[in-house]
Amino acid sequence: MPAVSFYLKQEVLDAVRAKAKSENLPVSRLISQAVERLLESEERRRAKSRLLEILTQRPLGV
Amino acid sequence: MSGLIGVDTGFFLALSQKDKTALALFESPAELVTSVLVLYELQKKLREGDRPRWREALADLERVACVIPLTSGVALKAGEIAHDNALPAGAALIIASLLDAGCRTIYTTDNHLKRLELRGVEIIGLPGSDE
Repeated sequence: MPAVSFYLKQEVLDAVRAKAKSENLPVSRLISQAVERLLESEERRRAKSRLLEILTQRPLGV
Repeated sequence: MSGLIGVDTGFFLALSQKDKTALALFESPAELVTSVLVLYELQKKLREGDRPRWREALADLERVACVIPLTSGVALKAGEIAHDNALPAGAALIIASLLDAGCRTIYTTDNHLKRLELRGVEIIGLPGSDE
């Protein structure tokens, strides 16, 4: 898995460290999970939008 | 709205008719759960309705909702529910899948399911073809 480095505001880093400690996770794992959830959530939102567009083109018969 | 929300094929038909309740649920952050049988039924409806993007719609449905497979446990539960409530096979298999997944709220347009009384389960009827 590739490694990445980036900057965080001190208060964000403090909050992330506290959260990681409370969940007994490494900070890197917590951040990685958060990014994965964000991407999944955005994909889900796009999927909802496409599905609704297709379904509502005109009412489906029964 | 909280917890897992079960939806049947009729929910997606209601959505296609822009039913307000169905739209509100779909646009909420609720975690939707459905059955593989709904994929089958909705595929038929989409193709009968001449929707060239039916494959895309079904792939998106799987991203939007948790799709519960049929298992022997679900089949046995469906048999019990069908026997006790005189339900058709499809409706019984769908409701058994949703209950097996832990849904305690289920949205449906199916009149058989609307009449169902299951302890601890709220069945919410949507307007549909069955009416």
